[in-house]
Amino acid sequence: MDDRTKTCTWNDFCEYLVSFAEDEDFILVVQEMDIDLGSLKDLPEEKIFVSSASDPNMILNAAGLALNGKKPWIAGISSKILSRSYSQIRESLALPSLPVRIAVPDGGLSCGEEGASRIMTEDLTLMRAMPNMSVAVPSDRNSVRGIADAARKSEGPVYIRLGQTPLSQLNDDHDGDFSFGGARLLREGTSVTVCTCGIMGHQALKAADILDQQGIDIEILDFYSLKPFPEQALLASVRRTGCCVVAEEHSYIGGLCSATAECLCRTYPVPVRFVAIDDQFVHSGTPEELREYFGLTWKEIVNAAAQAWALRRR
Amino acid sequence: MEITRINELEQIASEVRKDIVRMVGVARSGPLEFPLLISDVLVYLYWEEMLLLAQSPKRNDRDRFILGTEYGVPALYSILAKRGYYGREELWHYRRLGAMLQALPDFRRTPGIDAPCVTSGTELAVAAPLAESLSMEGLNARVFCLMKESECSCDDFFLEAERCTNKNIKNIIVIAVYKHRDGSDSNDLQVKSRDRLSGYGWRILEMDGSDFASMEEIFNRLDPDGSKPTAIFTSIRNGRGLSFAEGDHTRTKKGLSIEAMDRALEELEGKSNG
Repeated sequence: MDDRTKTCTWNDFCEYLVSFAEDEDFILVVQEMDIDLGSLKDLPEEKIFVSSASDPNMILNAAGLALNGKKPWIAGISSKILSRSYSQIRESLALPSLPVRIAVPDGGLSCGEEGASRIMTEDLTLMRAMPNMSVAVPSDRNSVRGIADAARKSEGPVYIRLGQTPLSQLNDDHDGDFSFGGARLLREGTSVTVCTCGIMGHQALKAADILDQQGIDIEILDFYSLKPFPEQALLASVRRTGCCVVAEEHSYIGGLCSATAECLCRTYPVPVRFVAIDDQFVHSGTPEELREYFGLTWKEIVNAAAQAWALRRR
Repeated sequence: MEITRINELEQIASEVRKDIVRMVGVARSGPLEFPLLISDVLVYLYWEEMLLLAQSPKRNDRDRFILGTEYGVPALYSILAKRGYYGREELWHYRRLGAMLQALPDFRRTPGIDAPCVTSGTELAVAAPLAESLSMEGLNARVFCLMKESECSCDDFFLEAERCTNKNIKNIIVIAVYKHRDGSDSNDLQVKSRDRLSGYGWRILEMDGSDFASMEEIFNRLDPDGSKPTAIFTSIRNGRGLSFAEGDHTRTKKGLSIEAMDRALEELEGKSNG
C-alpha cells in the first residue's frame, strides 16, 4: 500500500470520535497541553472537559462525570495515566465498574524517542489484571472504528491502546463487528497459528509471504480484544495447526503472550513461541530502531513460526 | 432551631452512635473514632439540610453526599439505615462476606451511596465534576463532600479547588472536619489551607460540628443559589467520641471486644442521658 494512505490509529480514533461526538452526549476528559488532540481540538468547548494538572484528578474527574450518567472518554499519556493514577483507576473506575473509556495515544514503542520512563511495555498487563476492565488494541482504521463503537456501548471501563505509527488498512474479510471478546482472521493457514495484536498483525502478514516459500502456511489472528479474551477463536485455530506463535509489541509478561499461554496450558497444550519484549526497560530511539533492536519484526516471526512448526503437536 | 428539635436530633445522633459501636463491635473490625465524631454533622445533613427521598435513592434532582474518607464509613451506613434506605438489620452484617455493607461502600449495591469512596487521591476531584454536570443539566442539586481536614492540604486538592473556581462551580460544599484543639483555635496548616482556598475565591465558613444550633446558623448562611464554592471547616469538640477510643487508630484492625463494646454502649448511654 502507498505510504501516503497509511494512518496511525490515534488519528483514526480522533477522527472517528469527532464524527459522532456532536450528535450525542459526548465528553472527553483531558489535561491541558498534555497530548496532541488532533482533530479532537475542533470539538465544541462543552464537549471537552479540561481537568487540573494532576493525573489522579483527571481519572477522578471522569468518575465524577460518570456518576451523573455520562460516559466520558479519557485521553492521556499512558505512563502518566497508568502508572501515576493506577490506584485511582482501580478504585474509582474499575471497582464500581463505571463506563469510562481510557484511550492512550502512545501505546507500545510508537513514541520511542521519549525514552524508557515514557514507554509503557507493561500497560496491557496492568489493565488486563484489573477486574471489570476491558482491554482492546486496534491495528488499523477499521478496528479503531469497530472498537470505538464497542466501547461506546460498554457499561464498564475500557482501556484502548492506540499508537502513532502509520499503518495500512489490513486486507481482511471481517464483517466490521469488533465486539469485545472477539478476534478477526487476517489470513487463513494450516501450519502455524500466529496470534497478534496492534502493529504485529502487519509484521505477521509480511512474514507469511516468506514462510509460504518455505512451505509453512501460517494462520494469522488479530486479537484486538485482549480482555475478554476470545478463547474459542484461538482454540479453533490451534486444534488444526498444533502450534502457536504470539507476537505483540509489549512485554511477554501479562499481555497477549500470557493470555494465549494461559488459555492453551489449561485447555490444549501445544508448543508456543513468543515474539515480544523481554523483561526489561526499553531505550530511547526511533520506533523502527527499537522494533529492530527488541526483535519485533517479521524476521523474528519467521524464525518463531519455523521453530513452532518443527515442534508442533502432530 | 427550637430546643425540642435540637433534642430530637441529639436523640437520633445518640442512636446512630450506638449503632456504630454495635456494628463495629459485631464485625470485630472497622474504624470507630472518626465515625463517632462525624455523627452529629451527618445527622444534621441528612435530617435538616439535604434534599433527598429515601424511597427514591436515584432521583436525579437529589442532593449528593460524598464521603471523602474511608474512616467515616460506619457512620454513613448507620445514618442511611436510620434514614430508611435499608433495614437496620443490614448493619449487623457490616464487613461480612457477601453483605451489602462492605468495608468501603459499594456504589452499585448500597442504596443511598452516591459515589465510591476513594482511598487514594482527593474526593473533591470526584465531587466537583459531578456538581458541574448537575448544574449544567439545570438541576439545583448540591454536592456535599465530607473530608478530614488533613486531606484538604494536598496539592491535588488545591488544584481541583482552583479548577472549581475557574469553572465557576457553585453547588459544591466541602465539609472539612477536624478535632477541636484546646488552647489554640487553629494551627498553621489550617490557616494556610483556609488562606489558600480563600485566595482561590472559595467561601470559607467555620462551625461547631457538635452543636446543632451552630450548624443551623452556618447552613442557613449558604446562599440557596450558590455564589461560589464553599468550604466549611468543622471542629468537633472533645468528648463526642469514646474516652478509650480517642486517638486510637489501630482499632480498625483490632475491632472491639464484647466487654469493650458493652463499656462503650454504657458510656454513650450515660452521655445521652445527661
